[in-house]
Amino acid sequence: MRQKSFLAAILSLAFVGALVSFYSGGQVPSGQAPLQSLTPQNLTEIKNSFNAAKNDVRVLLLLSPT
Amino acid sequence: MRIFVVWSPVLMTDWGRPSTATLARVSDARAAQFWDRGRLISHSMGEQNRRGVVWDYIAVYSPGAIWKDRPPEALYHGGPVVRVTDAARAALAQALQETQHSRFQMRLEEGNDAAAGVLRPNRMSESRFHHFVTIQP
Repeated sequence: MRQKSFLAAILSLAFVGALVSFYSGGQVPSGQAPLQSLTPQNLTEIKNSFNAAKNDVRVLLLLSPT
Repeated sequence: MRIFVVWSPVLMTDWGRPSTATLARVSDARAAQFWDRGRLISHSMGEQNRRGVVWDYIAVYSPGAIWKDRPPEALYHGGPVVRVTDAARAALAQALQETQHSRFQMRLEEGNDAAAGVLRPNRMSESRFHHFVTIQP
């Protein structure tokens, strides 16, 4: 009985940890701007950043997290 | 060079924003990373339905390309990324080489202009001298 409770607690913690990890998002590597969430309201920000670097070569990557 | 990495939920396992480990895959400080939950970029590039999702995709843009309603025409684009790394790398190298060449040309032209500016007074005085000689008789 005690073992089952312990296991349930561990699984709950792992589940909460996974939820926090998935929904809070990770940290970008040092030197980069923080991860930005795109919404219809701020979509122009990526466009503006892209155009601000118009004198440079730019690379766009569209990826899935998993 | 600037790198724009857009993470979008596409697969069943994409439950949320990318983790630290996922974001660490692109460690270059010239990169900016975005979480596009609504696949807004993919939609702007033509996604109409599930089959049209734009992902696992890389595009290389030369200087001067401007993003208007959608990302501009790319110098190179392709995917899945793992299968096109050589082609993308070659396109990137070519674009960087062309950029450096054009910047070198600009500096050379600026240098020539500066040199012409230095020489111009002498040319002017020579021209005035000839003009003087011509009208004197």
